[in-house]
Amino acid sequence: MMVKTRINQSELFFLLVQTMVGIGILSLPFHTYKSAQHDGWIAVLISGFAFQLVILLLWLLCKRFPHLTLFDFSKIILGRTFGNFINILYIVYLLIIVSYTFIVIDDIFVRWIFPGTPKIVLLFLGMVVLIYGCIGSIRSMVYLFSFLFIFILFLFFITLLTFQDPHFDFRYLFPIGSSGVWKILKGMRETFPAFTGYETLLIYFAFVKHPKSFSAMKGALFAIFFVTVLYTYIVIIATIMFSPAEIKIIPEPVLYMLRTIDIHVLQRLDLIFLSIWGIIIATTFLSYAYLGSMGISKLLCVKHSIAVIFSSAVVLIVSITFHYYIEIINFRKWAEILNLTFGILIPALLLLIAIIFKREASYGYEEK
Amino acid sequence: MKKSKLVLLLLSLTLLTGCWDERLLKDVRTVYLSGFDLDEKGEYLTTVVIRNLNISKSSRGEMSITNEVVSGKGKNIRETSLKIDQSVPGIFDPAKGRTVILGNDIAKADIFNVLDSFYRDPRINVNSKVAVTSGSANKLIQHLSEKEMEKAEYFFEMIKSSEVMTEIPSVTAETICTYMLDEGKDFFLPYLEIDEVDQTVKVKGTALFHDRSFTGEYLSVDESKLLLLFMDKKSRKTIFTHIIEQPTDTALSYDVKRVSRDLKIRKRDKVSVDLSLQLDVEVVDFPEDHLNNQKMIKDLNRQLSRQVSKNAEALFKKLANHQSDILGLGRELIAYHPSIWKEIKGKNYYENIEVNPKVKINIIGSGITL
Repeated sequence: MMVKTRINQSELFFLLVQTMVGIGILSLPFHTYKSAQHDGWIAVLISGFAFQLVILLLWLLCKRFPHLTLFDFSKIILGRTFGNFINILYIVYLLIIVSYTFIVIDDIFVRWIFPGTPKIVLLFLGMVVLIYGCIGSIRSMVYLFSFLFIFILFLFFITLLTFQDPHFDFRYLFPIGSSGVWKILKGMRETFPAFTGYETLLIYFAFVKHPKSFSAMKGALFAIFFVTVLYTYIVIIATIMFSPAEIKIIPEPVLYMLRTIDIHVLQRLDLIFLSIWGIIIATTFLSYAYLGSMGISKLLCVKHSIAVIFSSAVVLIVSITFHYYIEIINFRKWAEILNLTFGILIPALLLLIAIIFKREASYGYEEK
Repeated sequence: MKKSKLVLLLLSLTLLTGCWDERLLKDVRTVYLSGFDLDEKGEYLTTVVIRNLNISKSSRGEMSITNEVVSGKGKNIRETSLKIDQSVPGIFDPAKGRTVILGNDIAKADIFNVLDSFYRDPRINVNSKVAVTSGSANKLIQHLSEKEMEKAEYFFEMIKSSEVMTEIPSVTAETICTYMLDEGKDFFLPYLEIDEVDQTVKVKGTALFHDRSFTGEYLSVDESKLLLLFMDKKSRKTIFTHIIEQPTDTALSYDVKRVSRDLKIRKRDKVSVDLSLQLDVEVVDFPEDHLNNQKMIKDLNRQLSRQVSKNAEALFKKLANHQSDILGLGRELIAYHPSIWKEIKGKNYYENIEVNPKVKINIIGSGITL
C-alpha cells in the first residue's frame, strides 16, 4: 500500500533530527568519558561518520521499494507470514523504545525538578502528550517537528552560557588522542544509544519525493551530520568544564554544568534547560509512538487513532511496570543492543535477501 | 470529537504537577549563611543563620526581620541539618545559602565530605561562596553582631568585593569540586579572621589547599593578588602599593591594566618552569609626580620589577613548601608534556617542579595628571 503524503528534504531532516536528539544528549559525555576519556569527542565524530554509512545502507534497502514503508516491503521480501512476523518485532521494538524513553524522562524529571511528585503522575502526563500528538497525520507531525526545531537551537544557546564560568579549561582536552585507538573505538560504542533514531528512516523514507535519486538522501545525511556536530560540541564543553575524576561521578554532566552558571537574573539554568529538553524529548517519543501505531494499524487493519490509544496503553503498562527500577543504566545497554539489531542487522539481512532473490517493487507513480 | 477533546483537556488539568513540589516561603526557614566545624571526636557541627520574616497581623502587615543562629551536631553534614530541623519551627531549608564558612579543623580534613551533600541535592545552590576561617566557624558566626547579620549577605558581599579587587579567587562550591577531583591542580579559598584590634571580621588573604585539605598556610592579600596575576585571572582592579627608595622614600600605588604571561617548561634534573609576567600598569598614587620624565619612568620600572620579582620568588617558595599547585602546572604537564608527567606523577608531584618567576613592570599611564 503506497503512502500518499510526500515530504521534502528539509522536512526529512527535521523528522530525523527531532527523533535522534533526545535522551542521549544529557548523559552522553558521561558515557563517552567512561571508555574514551577526554577523547570522547573523537569517538562521537567517528560514530557520526559510521552512521552516515548506516544511513546509506538503509537507503539502498528503501530505494528498492519506493513509497513503501518497512511494514509493507517486509512482506514483499519475506512473504506474508514472515513479513508480518518482522513487522510485529518492529512494532514491539518501537514501543519498547517509547517506554524506555518514558522511564528515563520520568527518572530525570523526578530527580532534578520534582522530587516530591509521584512518578506515575508524570507518566500519565506524558501519555496525554503522546495520544494528543500522535493522533494527527504525518503532515501535522512534520509541521510540529519543524517548528520545534527552534528549541534545539535554543538548547544550544543555553549551553553557550556555560562559557561564562571562568573555570573551564581547554587543557582537559589535551593531549589529543592519548587514550589510544582501542579506547576511542570502545567509546564509539557508548555513543550509539545517542544516535538512536536513525532507524526511523526505514519508514519515513517512504514519504520522500523521488526516492531513487541520491539527492533523496540529502536530508538524512545532513541530519546525521547536524546531530554529530551537536554531540561533539556537547562532549567537548562537558570535558572542558569538569575535571576527569569529577565527570565520572556526574551522570548528567550537561545539566550539572548549567547548574553552576549564575547569570544575574537567573540562578538555575538547568531547570530552564530541562523544560526545553522536555519538548525535544517529547518529539522523540512522539516519533516512535507514531511509527509504532502506524505499524499496528497496518497489521491489524484498524484506524490510526485506535492504534495510537492501543500503543499508548501498552507503553503505559510497560513503563509503570519498570519505572521503579534504579538500574536504568542497564536498560540503556538493552536499548543499545535492540537498536543495533533493528537499525542495522535486520535491515542488512533484508537487503541481502532482497538482492539475492531480486525483490523489488515497481514504481507506482511519481508525482510531478 | 470536540467534546472528547474537551474532556481530555480537563482531565489533563488534574495531572498538572507542582502541587507535590511546592515549597512555600512561609513554611520554610531559609538559610543565608552556614558554617561547618569538626570537633576532636570527629563529630560535625553546623552553625547556620536563619532569617525569619515576621508579618505581624496587629500592625497591618508590617514586616520585621530577625535572624537567629542555630547549630546542630552529627556524624555527617546531613545529620547536622536534620538536628537543626528538629530545633527550629518550620522546615529547615539549606537550599538558598550563599556563603559557606569552613572552620580550621574541618578544612584541614577532607573538605569533600562537607560539600558532598551540596553536590548531591538538586535544590541546593552550588554557587555559594566558600571561605576558610582561622578559628572555628561557629565562633566567627557568633561574632557577627545583630547589625551585621541583618545585612544577610554580609560575608557574601565581603567576598564579592574582594574578588573584584583581585584579592581572592572567584570560586564557588561547584568550582572547588572540579579542583578537588583534579590530580593536576590545587586551589585556594578566601581566608577570614576576626581582627584582634578592631574586633571585626576581615579577609586575611587566601588559604592554600593541597588535594582536598587545607595546608594550614595562608597567603597574604598581596601575595594572593600576585598569584592571581600569575594565573592570568585579573579581575576588575588590581592595586599594589610599593615603597620606592629612589629618588626619595615614597609609596607608589599602581593598578594593573594588562597582564601577559609566558610559561616555558624544561626538563632538567627537576622540571623547571620559567614563568615570566609582564604587567602594564597605571600609576594611581605617587606624590612625587614628574611621570613625564623618561628616565624617571625607566627607573621606576626597574625598581618595581625588582621588588615584585622578589615577592614572586618568596611566593613560589611558599607554594613549594606546601606543595600547593595552584597554577595547575600538573595539568599543564598532563596536557602538553605527558612524557614528563609520567615520570613525576603521584600525590606529591609538585616536589619535582621548580618555578622561576620573573616579573617585568611597565608603566603605561599616570591618570590625568603627570
